[in-house]
Amino acid sequence: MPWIRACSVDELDDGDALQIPTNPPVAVFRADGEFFALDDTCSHGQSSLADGYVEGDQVECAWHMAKFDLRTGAALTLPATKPVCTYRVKVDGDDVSVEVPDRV
Amino acid sequence: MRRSSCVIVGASAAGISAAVAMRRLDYRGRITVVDADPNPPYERPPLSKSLLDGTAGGLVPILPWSTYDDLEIDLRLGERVTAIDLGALQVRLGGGDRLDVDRLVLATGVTARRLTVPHADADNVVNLRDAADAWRLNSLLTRGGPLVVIGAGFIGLELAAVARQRGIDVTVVEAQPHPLAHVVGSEVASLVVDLHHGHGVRLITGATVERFVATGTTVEQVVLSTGRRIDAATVVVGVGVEPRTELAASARVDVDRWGFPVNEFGQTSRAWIFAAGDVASQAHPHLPARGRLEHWDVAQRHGEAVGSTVAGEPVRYREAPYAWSDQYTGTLQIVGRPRGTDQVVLRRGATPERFLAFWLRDGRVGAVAGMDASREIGVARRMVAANVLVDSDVLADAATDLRGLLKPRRTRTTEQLAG
Repeated sequence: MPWIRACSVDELDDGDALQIPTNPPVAVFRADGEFFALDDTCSHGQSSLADGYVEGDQVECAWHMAKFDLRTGAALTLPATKPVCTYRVKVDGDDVSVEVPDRV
Repeated sequence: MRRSSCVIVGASAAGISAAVAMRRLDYRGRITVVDADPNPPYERPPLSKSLLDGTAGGLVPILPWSTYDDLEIDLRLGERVTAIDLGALQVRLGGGDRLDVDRLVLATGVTARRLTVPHADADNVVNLRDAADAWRLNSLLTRGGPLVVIGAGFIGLELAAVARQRGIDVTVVEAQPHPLAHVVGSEVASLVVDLHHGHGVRLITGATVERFVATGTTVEQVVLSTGRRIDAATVVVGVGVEPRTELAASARVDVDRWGFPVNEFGQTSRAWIFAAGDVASQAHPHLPARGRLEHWDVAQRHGEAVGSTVAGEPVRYREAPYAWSDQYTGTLQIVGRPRGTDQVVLRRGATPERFLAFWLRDGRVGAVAGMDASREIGVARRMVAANVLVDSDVLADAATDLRGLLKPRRTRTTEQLAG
């Protein structure tokens, strides 16, 4: 799986997220200074988790309020019952890179 | 002492959430969920949405099938609870079986109200409530239009959108002069109506069904109270719901016009009998008076709260109700209940396809609605919960980052949750 640059460190504030249009799309989150990458599409509905609300190390789906663990991708609450994939993230200087599933 | 035994009537969002919450809190007794619907417990929202768009597959299960075994939740599907035997502390099933019970959860939901005119039960008239209704409607829509939708509520408008996306001619008939105005106020309601007009939906307001013209068991025309006649290949009726309170007589619990009246823990007038979800009549802080909260998210959360209480960890259900409705490519989301006395603040730049509206109550956000604004709704929901004081000009400014209005008040949220 290739690494791609997602953004600069300053582009995302805490609680922010952005979607990388890979196949499948990946969401990159910043929470309490740390960066995380998950499948962007919620495992329950079809919402973009990058539109979700980040609190602590969890993200809440913007449509049906299922919560996922940003570290493990685990589904923490109904209506989601399946986890989402997580992807490796590295911060090199000012650059945040993600090991993405496919190609852009 | 015999093992504790909880029976949940209704494999609904409320019923299943209650069962899951009980196991999460280590409830050790038996849990049996009974439902007359033979299908494994499924999500109802897709019945009026993706299940009908011609692309999606079957029912969406609430839980993976194996989870019921893992959590030791017994399902009695395709069976009906006929009575509660208070003397024997047993639940009677239609097939003759009896289940011991010392905690009963009524999650029976609501049934779609039917029209009382002749031919209201014709082959091509659908009241959408369960999977069988959805499959029947899907096969009717496959034959093409025109479709006449009676009732411009959320279900009716969702179905109108689905049908238009399948290229079907759609007329929606609504008794009120302004559809949805009583739910989201006239400003937001007109945006939603404009969205439907833009997609070619014909909307007739201030009219009801006078009668159906039928050949055999098939309705061919809808005659309105105004005298107007509309050709119909399929008729969908979405004119409200009635609570399913049949078990009240044998359970000897109170019933009101809304359903089973419950306290903030979901207890009915009989302390070991609970009601959860649509069928519960609640005195909820977001309702101006006692009533039902007929939303899937509410059913799930109320069920969870009631399940916790049954398991011995009482939880009050007080969160702002949340509902969504898929309309074409956008999602309409509503947090809280707008009131006629609120100050409405529509964010600048609103279009039928994308808008965000706030209802201010004493300078605080009491309710929010958005179309294709889900990122903002997540924040706005917390603004409602935190009761933040806001300035209407700031809210109306599309450049305002709502999170900035929320963050300084976070400590208030915690206090409120604790209170």
